[in-house]
Amino acid sequence: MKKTQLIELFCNIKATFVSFFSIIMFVALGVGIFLGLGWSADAVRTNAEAALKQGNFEHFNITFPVGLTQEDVEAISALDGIDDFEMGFSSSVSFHLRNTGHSGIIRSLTKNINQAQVLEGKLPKAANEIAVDSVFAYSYGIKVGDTLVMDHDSAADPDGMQYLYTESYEVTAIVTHPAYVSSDSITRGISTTGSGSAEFFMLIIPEAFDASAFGDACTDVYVRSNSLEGYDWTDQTYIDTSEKILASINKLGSTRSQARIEELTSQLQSLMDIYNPYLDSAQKAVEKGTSLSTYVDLTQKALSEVSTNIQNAVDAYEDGRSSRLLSTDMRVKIQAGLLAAKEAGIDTSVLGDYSNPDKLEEAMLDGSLLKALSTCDTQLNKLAYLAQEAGDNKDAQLAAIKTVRQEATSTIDTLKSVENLSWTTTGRSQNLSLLTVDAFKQVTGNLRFTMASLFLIVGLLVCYTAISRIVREQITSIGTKKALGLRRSEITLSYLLYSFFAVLAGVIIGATAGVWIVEFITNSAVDSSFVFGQLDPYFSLTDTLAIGAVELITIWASTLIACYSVLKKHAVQLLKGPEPPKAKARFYEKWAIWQRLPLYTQSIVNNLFNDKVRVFGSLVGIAGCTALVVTAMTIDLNVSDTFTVQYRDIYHYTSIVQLDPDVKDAQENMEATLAAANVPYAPMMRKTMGLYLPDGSVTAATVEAPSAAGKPTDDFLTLFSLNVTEAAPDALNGTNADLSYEGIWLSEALRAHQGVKVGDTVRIVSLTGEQCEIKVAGFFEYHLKDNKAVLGAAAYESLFGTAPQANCFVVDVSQTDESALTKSIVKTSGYYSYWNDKTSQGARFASYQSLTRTVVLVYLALSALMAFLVLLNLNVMFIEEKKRDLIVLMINGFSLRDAKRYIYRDNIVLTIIGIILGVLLGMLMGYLSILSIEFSTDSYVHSPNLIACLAGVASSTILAIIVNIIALRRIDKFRLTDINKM
Amino acid sequence: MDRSMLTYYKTIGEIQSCIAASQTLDEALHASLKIIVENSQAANAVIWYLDKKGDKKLHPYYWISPIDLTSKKYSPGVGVVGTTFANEQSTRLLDFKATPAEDVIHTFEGIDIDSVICVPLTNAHETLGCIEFVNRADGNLFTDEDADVCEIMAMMAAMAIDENEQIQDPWEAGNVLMTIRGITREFQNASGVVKVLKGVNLDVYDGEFLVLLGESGCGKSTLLNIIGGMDQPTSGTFTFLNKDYSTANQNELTEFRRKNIGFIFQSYNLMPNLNALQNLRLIAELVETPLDPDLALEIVGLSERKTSYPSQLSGGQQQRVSIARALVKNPKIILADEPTAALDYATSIEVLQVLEKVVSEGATMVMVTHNEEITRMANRVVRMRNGKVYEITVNRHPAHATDLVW
Repeated sequence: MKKTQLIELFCNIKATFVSFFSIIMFVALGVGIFLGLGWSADAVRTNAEAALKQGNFEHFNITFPVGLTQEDVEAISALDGIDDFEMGFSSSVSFHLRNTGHSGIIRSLTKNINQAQVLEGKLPKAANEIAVDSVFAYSYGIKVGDTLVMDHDSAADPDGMQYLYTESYEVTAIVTHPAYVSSDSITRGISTTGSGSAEFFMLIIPEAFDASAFGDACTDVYVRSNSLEGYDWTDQTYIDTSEKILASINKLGSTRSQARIEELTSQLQSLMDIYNPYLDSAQKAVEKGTSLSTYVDLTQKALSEVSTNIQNAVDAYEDGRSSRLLSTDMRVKIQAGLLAAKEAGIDTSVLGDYSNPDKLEEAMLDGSLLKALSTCDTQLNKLAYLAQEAGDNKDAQLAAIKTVRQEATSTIDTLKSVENLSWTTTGRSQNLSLLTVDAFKQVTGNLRFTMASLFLIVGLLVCYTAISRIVREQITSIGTKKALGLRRSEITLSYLLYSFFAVLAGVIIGATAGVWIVEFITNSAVDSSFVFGQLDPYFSLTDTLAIGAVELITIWASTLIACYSVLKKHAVQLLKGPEPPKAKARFYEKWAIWQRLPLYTQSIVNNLFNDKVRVFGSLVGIAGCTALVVTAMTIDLNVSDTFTVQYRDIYHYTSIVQLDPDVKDAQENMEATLAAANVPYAPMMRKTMGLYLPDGSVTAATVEAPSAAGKPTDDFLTLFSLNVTEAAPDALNGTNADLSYEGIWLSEALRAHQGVKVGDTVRIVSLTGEQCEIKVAGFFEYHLKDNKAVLGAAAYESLFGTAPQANCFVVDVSQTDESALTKSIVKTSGYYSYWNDKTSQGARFASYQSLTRTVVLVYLALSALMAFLVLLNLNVMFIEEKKRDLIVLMINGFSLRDAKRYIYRDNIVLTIIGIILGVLLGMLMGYLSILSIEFSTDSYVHSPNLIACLAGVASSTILAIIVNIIALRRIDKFRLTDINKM
Repeated sequence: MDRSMLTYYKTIGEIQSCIAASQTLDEALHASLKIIVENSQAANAVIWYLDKKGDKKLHPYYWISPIDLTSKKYSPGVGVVGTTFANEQSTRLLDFKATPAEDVIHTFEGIDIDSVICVPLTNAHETLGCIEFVNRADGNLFTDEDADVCEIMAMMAAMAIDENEQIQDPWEAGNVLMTIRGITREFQNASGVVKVLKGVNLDVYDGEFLVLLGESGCGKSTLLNIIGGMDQPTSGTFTFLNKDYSTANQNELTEFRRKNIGFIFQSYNLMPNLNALQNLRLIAELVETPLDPDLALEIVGLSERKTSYPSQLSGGQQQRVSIARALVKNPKIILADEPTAALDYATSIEVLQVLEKVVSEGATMVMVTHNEEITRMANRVVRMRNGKVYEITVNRHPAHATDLVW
C-alpha cells in the first residue's frame, strides 16, 4: 500500500473514530471474555496439573472391597502400560469433634505415588500419628498437636473387624493430597459411616492399618503409566490410552476378583467348619448351665496353652534343640491341653483329626494348626463380647450364639451373591476433584462461547454499519478513484486494512484485559474452590492468535459484505454520489386508521419500515443488551432461586440428625426427643451408594428410603415432596409418586445429564458390596448438587432383603429454637451427629454462586459497555445520517428540542420494540445458559425470572436514555450552514 | 500628450463603442457607468435621474457600490445630488472630511467617505440627473483632473440617452423587510481568520424577487445564511421588520426562521420517509396560520402526487414539493439557494415558472444563483464580488421564466 493511501486510511479512522473504536471494543470484549474465561479454566487446569505432578498422582486407582492380594498386584504390574504401582489402604472412619460426629476417609501414606503436600507440621511416622485434610482442618479449627479419637468400630467392617490398630491419633500435619484438589467436601467421596458422605481425608502410616482385617491384602492399588505422562487428563490421547489400559485392568479384575471371592468363600466356609463345633459346644455348655463367658474363658485358656506348646515345639525343632518336632513330652503337653479343652466342654475334634502324629506334625510345621487356633480365638473373642452383653441371661446367651451363627452364614451368603463384584478402577477422569475442574471448564467454556459469540455478532454488526457508512460517505471519492484507474481490489484493501487495524487493536486490548481483568476476577472468585491457593494466571499466545484470526476473518467478511454492493458499481454510477433512501408507499397507508394517525406517528412508522439497516442495527443492539442482562440475571437469580426452591417446594425440613448405629434403640430415643420438641420429623435410611447406569457409567447417589419402623411413609413425603417430572404411568398415585411401586425414583439431573430413562434398569451397589438391580420408576425435581435416589420401604426390603432401618431423622427446625433443640438432640442416646442441611447446602450454593456471580457481574459490566457502545454508535450514526434532515427541519423552524424530539421519538419506539425482543431473547438465552452451566448432578431452576426481565427492561431503558442524551448532544453542535456542504 | 489625456480619450472611445453596441438605454447606461468607474478609479458611482412623471425626485438608476441605494431619493436642490442637479454644475468635495455633506453620509451609510464628485448628467436638451462618484478605489482623494474626466464622461453617458429611448420609470420598491448594514463574517481556519463577508449593505423589499449573483466564494451563500437566520454576522446589523437579529440567540433565530422564512434548497432536502403531503404537513404544523398543504401542492401543480415519496418523484417534482414546503408556512421571505442547479433546462424552467407564479402572488424571494440568465427574472440583481456587494441593478422589466434561455 502506498504511503498516501495509508494516510487516507488513517484519516478515515480519525473521521470515523467512534465506529472504529466500537469495532475495537467489540473485538476486545469478545476476545477478552473468550480468552479470559478460557484462561481462567486453563489456570485451574494447569494448577491442578501442577498439583498432580507435584504429588506424583496416580493415573488409576484400583480398589476391591474384599482386598487386593500380592498376586493381584503382581498381575496388575505385568499389564502393558503399567509402569509404576503402589499398594495402600483406605477405609471409612468417623470421629466426634465437639459432640458432633464427622465421617471421612482414612488412607495410608505412600512412598512414591500420591504424595501429600505438607502445609503445616510433619508427616506421620508413628502408628498413632495422623495428617489431616487442610480444608477440613481449617474449617473445624483442627491444629497440629491436637488429638483425634476415632469412634469405636468406626474403622471396622459391619462384622466388627477392626481395620486400625489405634483409635487415638495425634495430628502431626495439615496436608493437601493430589486426589483432593477441590475444596468442596463433596469431592472427598463416600463413607460407610455417618451420613454416607465423606467430609475429609486423613493420612496415617500403612503400618497403622491391620492388614489381616483385609485378609492380608491391601484395599487400594495406585498405578501410574508412562504412556499417560505429559498429557492432560482431558486430552484425547490421554483418554484413548487410558481407556485401553483401563480395559486391560478391568479384564484382569473380572477374573481375579472372582477367584478372590471364591477363595474367600472357601476360607470362610472352612472357618465355619471350624467354628460351628465351637458354637455347638458353647450352646451345649450354656444349656447345661455354664455361662457363655466361663465357657469362652476356659476354651481360650485351653487353646492358648495348646498354641504355646505347639509354638515351643516348632521353635525347638527349628532351632535344632530338638531333633523331633513332636517329642513325647511335647505330645503329652499338647494332648493335655486338648484334654483340658475337652474338659472345658470343647469338642476338640474341631481342630481336626490330629490323632495321627504325622498329620499333626505337618499341621504344626505349615502353621495351619496355629492359624486354626488363632481363628478360633478370634471368633471366641466375638462370642466373648456377645456373652458380656448377654450377661447371665441364659436366653440372651443362646440368642447371642444364634446371632453369631446367622452373621457367619450371612457373610458367606453375601460373598456368594456378589458374583459380579469386581475391582473398581477409576482413572483421573472419574476423580471427583478433577471432575470439579472439568465442571468449571465446561461451565466457563459454555459461558464464554455464548458471551463471546454475542460480542462477535454485535461486533460484526457494528463493523458492517461502520464500513457501510464510510463507504457510503466516500462513494464519490471511490468513484473518482475508480475513474482514475484504481482497481476494486486496491480500494477494498484500504477498508480491509481499516478492519485489520481495529481487530489488531481489539485483540491486543482484549488479550490484555482477558489476563488482567477477566481472568484475574474469575480466578479470584474460584481460587477458594481449590486447594492451590492463589491461582497462577494463564496466558497462551496460540489462543490469542487463534481467536484473533477468527475475529479477523469474520470482521473481514463483514467488511467485504459492507463494501461489495458499492465497490461493484461502475465509476460513473459512484460519481453521482450516494443514492437517497428509497421510501415507497406501504400497504398500511391504505388503511383508514393510518390517515387518522398523527403525522409524527406516521413518520415514525415510515422510518421504521424504510431505514431497515438502522432499525435492524438498533434492534439488535437494544435487544442484545436487554437479552444479555436478562440472561446474566437469570443465571444468577435462578442459581440463587434453585436453593430457595429446593427448601421451599421440595425439602420441607432443614436439618438431619444422624443416629449412632451402635446404640440400641437410637431411633426410638431420638424420636421421643423430637416428638417432645414438637417439630416435624421423619426417620429414614440414608446411604451413599454406587449407581451403575444403563450406559455402563457409575456415579454416586444418596439413596433414601423411609424407615419401615416408626413413622410411616406419609411423614417422609410430607418433609420431602417428590415432585414428579416424568414417571411410569403405573408408578403414579394420581400425580404423586407412589412409593409402594417396585422401582427407584431418581433425581432429575440423572435424566437430563446422564440419559437415564423411565423403565431403564440401574444397579445399586453399597459400599459393603451389596448390590441389586431395579427399574427406574420415574424422576423428581431436585436441585442440590448430588444425585438422589428414593426407594419405598417395600422396594428396599425386596431388594436388600431387610427392611430399611432408620439411620437418620430429617427434621424441620425452622419453627423452633434450633439451639435448644440441638442441645436436646445431642444429649439423646443414639445421637451421632446433627447438621443444618439447609445452612450447609446454602453455603455450598453460595460458594458456587460466588463463581457464577463473578462471571455474571463481568457479563453484566461487559454487556452494559457493549450496549452502550452499540447504542451510542448507532445513535451517533443515525443522527449523522439524519443530519441533513435535521438541519433542514431546523432551518425551517424546528427548534433544537423539536429536532431532538424528531430523533428520540423514533428511538423510544425502537427501544421499546428492542426491549420486548430482548426480554424474549434473554428468556431463551437464560434457559439455554442455565442448561449449559449444569454439570453432571446440577439441576437449576429453568423458568424465566421476572426480576431478571425487569432488570433487563430497566437497564436498557436507563442505558437508552443515557445514550440518547449523549448522542443527541451532537445535534447541539450542528451548524445550519453545513447544509451548503451537503 | 500625458498619460491622463490618453486615458481620457480611450475612455471616451470605449463609452462610444459601448453605447453603439447597446440595444437598450438600460444596457448603455449600465455599461457606460462601469467604464466610467473603471477609468475614473472611483470606488462608488451612482447615476441619479429625475422621475419626471412620478414624484419629481432624483432616484438612483444604476450604481456600482456596496451600498444598497434602491430606495434613496433626493429632491432637486437638496443635498449634494439635488444641488448638482438644480445648479447643473458639478460639486467637488475633493477632501470630503474638510467639508462633509450630511446627505452623502446618509446615502453611503457604512462607508468611510473621503472624497466626492457629483457631476450633472445633461444632454442636449436638459439635465436628466447627475452622476455621483464617492472615494477613489486607490484610497487617494479625487483631484480636479479626475473631476474633469468625470464631467466629460458624464456628458458622454448623457449622449447615449439622446440617441436611444426614454429613460425608464423608477422601480417601485415595497416596504423594507430586511436591512443589512456593514455585515461582516469571519471564519477561523487552519491558516488564520478568513473574511468571507467584508461589509455588506442590502435592503430586501416586500414582494421583490431578488437575485444574489456572484462567483463561487464571493460570499453569497454566507450572506443567504445570515439572511435566513442560519448564521450570525461577525459584525454589522441585520434587522427584519425593524427588529435587530444581529445578536439574537438561537431561540430567537429559530423563531425568526419559523415565522418568517421559507427555504428552497438546491438538493431539495425533502424528508425521504415522508410523502409529499407529509413533508408539507411537517412544516405547516410549525406555524399558526399555515397555507393548506393541499393547496400549496396545488399551487406547484403536484396535487396528483401528494402521496408520492421523494424517491418516487423526479428532480423537478421534488423541487416543486420543496417550493410548496417553503410556501406552506406563509413566510415573509422565501430563500432559494440555487434551486435549479441540479436540474436540466426544461425542468429548471418548470421550477422557475412556479417561482415566478409564487412571486407574482406576492411572495418575497431571495435567490442565490450562478445562472446569469435567471437574473432576467429578478426585480433586482445583487452582484457580489470578494465579500462585498459590487453592484445592485434594478430590473425594470423582469422577463418571464419561459423567456429564459441558456
